[in-house]
Amino acid sequence: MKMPDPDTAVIARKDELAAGLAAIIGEEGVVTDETGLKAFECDGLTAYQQPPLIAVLPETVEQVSAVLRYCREQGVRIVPRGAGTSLSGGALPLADGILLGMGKFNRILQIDYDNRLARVQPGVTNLAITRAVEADGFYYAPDPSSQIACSIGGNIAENSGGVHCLKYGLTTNNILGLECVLTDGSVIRLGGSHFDGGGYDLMGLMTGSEGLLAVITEVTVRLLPTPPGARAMLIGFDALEAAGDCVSAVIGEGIIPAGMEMMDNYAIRAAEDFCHPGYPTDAAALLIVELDGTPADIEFGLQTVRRIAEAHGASSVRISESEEERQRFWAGRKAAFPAVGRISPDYYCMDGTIPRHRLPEVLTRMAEMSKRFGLRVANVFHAGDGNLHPLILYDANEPGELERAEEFGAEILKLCVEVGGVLTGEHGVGVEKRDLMGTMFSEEDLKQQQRVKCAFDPQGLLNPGKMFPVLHRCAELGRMHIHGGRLPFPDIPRF
Amino acid sequence: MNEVLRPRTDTEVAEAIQWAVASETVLDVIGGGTKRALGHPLIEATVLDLRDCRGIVSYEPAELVMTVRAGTPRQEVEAALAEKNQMLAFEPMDTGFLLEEDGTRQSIGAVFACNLAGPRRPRSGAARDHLLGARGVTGRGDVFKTGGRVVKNVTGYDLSKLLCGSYGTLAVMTEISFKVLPAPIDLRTLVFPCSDHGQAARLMRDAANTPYSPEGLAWLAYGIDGAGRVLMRLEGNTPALAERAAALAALASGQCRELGRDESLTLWRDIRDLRFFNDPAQWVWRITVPPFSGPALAADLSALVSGGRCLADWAGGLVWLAHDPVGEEQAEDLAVRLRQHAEAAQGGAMLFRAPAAIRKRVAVFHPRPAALSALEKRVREAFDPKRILCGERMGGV
Ligand SMILES: Cc1cc2nc3c(=O)[nH]c(=O)nc-3n(C[C@H](O)[C@H](O)[C@H](O)COP(=O)(O)OP(=O)(O)OC[C@H]3O[C@@H](n4cnc5c(N)ncnc54)[C@H](O)[C@@H]3O)c2cc1C
Repeated sequence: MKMPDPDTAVIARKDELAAGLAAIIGEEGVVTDETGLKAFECDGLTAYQQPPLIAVLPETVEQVSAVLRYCREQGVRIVPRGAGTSLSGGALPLADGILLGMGKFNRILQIDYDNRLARVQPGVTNLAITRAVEADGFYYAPDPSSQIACSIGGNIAENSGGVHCLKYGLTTNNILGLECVLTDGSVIRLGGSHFDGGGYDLMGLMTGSEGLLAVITEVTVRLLPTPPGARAMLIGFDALEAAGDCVSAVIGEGIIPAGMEMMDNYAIRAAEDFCHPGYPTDAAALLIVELDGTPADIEFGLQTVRRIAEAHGASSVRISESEEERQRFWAGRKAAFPAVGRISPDYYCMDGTIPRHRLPEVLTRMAEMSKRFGLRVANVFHAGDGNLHPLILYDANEPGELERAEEFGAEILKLCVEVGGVLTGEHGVGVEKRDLMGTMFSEEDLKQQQRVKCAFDPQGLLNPGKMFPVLHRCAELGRMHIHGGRLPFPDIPRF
Repeated sequence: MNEVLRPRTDTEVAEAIQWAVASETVLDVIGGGTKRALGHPLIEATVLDLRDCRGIVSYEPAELVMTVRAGTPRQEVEAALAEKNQMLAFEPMDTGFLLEEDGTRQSIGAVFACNLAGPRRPRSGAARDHLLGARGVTGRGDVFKTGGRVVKNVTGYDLSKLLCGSYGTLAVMTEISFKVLPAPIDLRTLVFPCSDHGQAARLMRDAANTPYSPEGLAWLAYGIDGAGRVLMRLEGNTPALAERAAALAALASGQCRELGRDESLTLWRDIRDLRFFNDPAQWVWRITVPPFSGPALAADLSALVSGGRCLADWAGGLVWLAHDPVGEEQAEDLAVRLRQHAEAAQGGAMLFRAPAAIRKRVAVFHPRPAALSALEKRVREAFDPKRILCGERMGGV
């Protein structure tokens, strides 16, 4: 993956820039030594590594604003970073850029149960929000598997999801307000403590913008009351197709479970070996379905899902009888990545989404590809919303295997697009899928996205080399080609 | 020029816009034309009427996704969904009653472009939360698409969010894909007598904070027929409704009565569409605030105006205020004062219904700080540099 050519003139000015940054935020917030910088050299996509020129660790909004203004004056590129768990290389540093680490923004500023919201700094971890309010009967709904580590700022930047998003929505559906800093140093507040205040939905645009538009310095999230109860089901099937049909049938009947996950036999066995959740290891597919709500809600859901599952030839159905057992049902799914990590030296996690009814076809073709590339693949899905996580197993020490794994991954994503889906459901484009954007979008679609980028960051200093395969200058993007003044539409009906 | 252009295809829409760009003609982009009285009035504009960009392109109930041409009547969309026991979960407001238009003519594109969600907003989101992708033509005359047809998608910027609530000022949507949800099996409403704003705020907060949180929470307050009352709508399967109703009734020691399905349907439609505001001369404001402050603000604002009528939806987070008209001279002053009160409650106010002369003079949308409004202008410019799509409908942005 080629990154933008580093600006050697900027690299040569490292000492001067470090001094300029230290003047803004103090020596202790500026990292320049090799060992210190190595800590930032990659995110969760570990195949790509690049230490930044300088790492800057601000503590206040004023500092972020001053740092950005300074970088703009000096023409220096900036890569924002939360916890560095991105799986798409979104937080991969640049050789000629500063890494803006938001880890010191780690305070919960306000918890307001009257309005069911929490105002937090972007470096607070996803789970810390729920931990701070759960004793009072509330939680923050989006629950990425990385929630112990990932930051809420990173969640906004990636529009992260989790197993409960089917019913409760993604990050974008669970936030009320943002404070952001633009590269010109201006601080803007988007949204607030209420819904739909009017004006362009820039908060919605910022969500999922992968650190390319502005730096997030504060987040207001919605809190939801914890459901009175939840129970999970394990449903085994002899065929993946039957499991897929069952998922569609459940939703078709009007049931939206709190979570509905699928694992293939490979993933089932890996998880069972890893933490013994009691999965049916002989099943071709396993569905984990969770129902939450009042006892009557849960009972209704369980009975409906059981009936549908049996009608679809389920080979086993188990319903959790205690909270401890429910947690155990989930433990295997949540540990699926590390579990697969144990049976293979390396694995590469993909993240396409497809229309659910194309699942059997996609799985068949993936199995063919697996043979062709000579690499095994384990599958876990957010089945309810068609989000696939094929895990490609490889060994980075075998020459050529990483490249083969990447090629295999790219083929899978192209297949997702071909059947009417998309390249990424929750992990983001980053560097990883940047060069595949053309399979989903036309040149013009991508230019329009970049025009929006220009409205925020006209110099293109924030996180360049991510998301867009070709970088255009803003002046060039803004140019209009006007087709004369005559009426060029003799055929359009007029009245 | 009072010509009306009725393109049928994306190419024809693009041609019309390219012509408008070249001749610097403002286009009044309409679906059914029922929401033209929202926003600042457009003075001289050629109508770009999308009614012939119409039809359901695909609908797969088991995927919970529908794709339609943007000019399709909302009625047609809702009828197709109802056949499969599904619905637009964000319960879009039908502005027909309030704006004295034939609501059956409204188009689905406009429903998304205006992003006006009804009572289910706190539980199920607004149009912005349901739009999955769109095709359209920018104010540059370029055909583009954003998003996709699947629920989970983070590929590229989420431009769909920008299109929702842009009132046609960024791009003309020609085809949209959105998420739909199963319709509730059953429904009922609890009615709690309540005229005091403090009591209303607490009751709605307590209900929203229980795990039995209702799918509609509104306070009919001042000047609405009958005495003040808090309404709680419950949706779901029948046994669970009974369980939740009991828990919620207990919040007010059982001081409530219950409405069944049919009565509930009418009542919540009336709240959604503001059928309580039946004096067409009155002006109407839409005020969004943190919900717990809503009822107090409603009380406060009603005292500030004459003939004030108020209701608070979204557990208090959406306050609707109707009042008797004032003279053109006093209008700006009134707007400033109402907005000061709204801002003191950390909210903002949109002038939703008033004569065109007033909407020309008074800022319709809540004014924004300079840095934000400059950014919004640049975003507009990224889509529509000549400001030909719906001109100044959203004011200076
Ligand atoms: C084991 C594992 C499991 C995972 N499971 C899930 C899952 O279930 N669902 C899911 O959606 N994701 C998952 N992820 C991916 C990842 O955790 C998420 O994308 C997460 O939101 C990233 O947060 P972060 O704080 O680590 O961000 P980083 O990796 O530091 O950064 C991610 C992006 O956000 C930008 N960014 C960070 N902070 C800011 C800020 N303050 N302002 C502006 N931009 C900023 C960065 O520039 C970068 O582009 C998983 C990752 C791992 C390693």
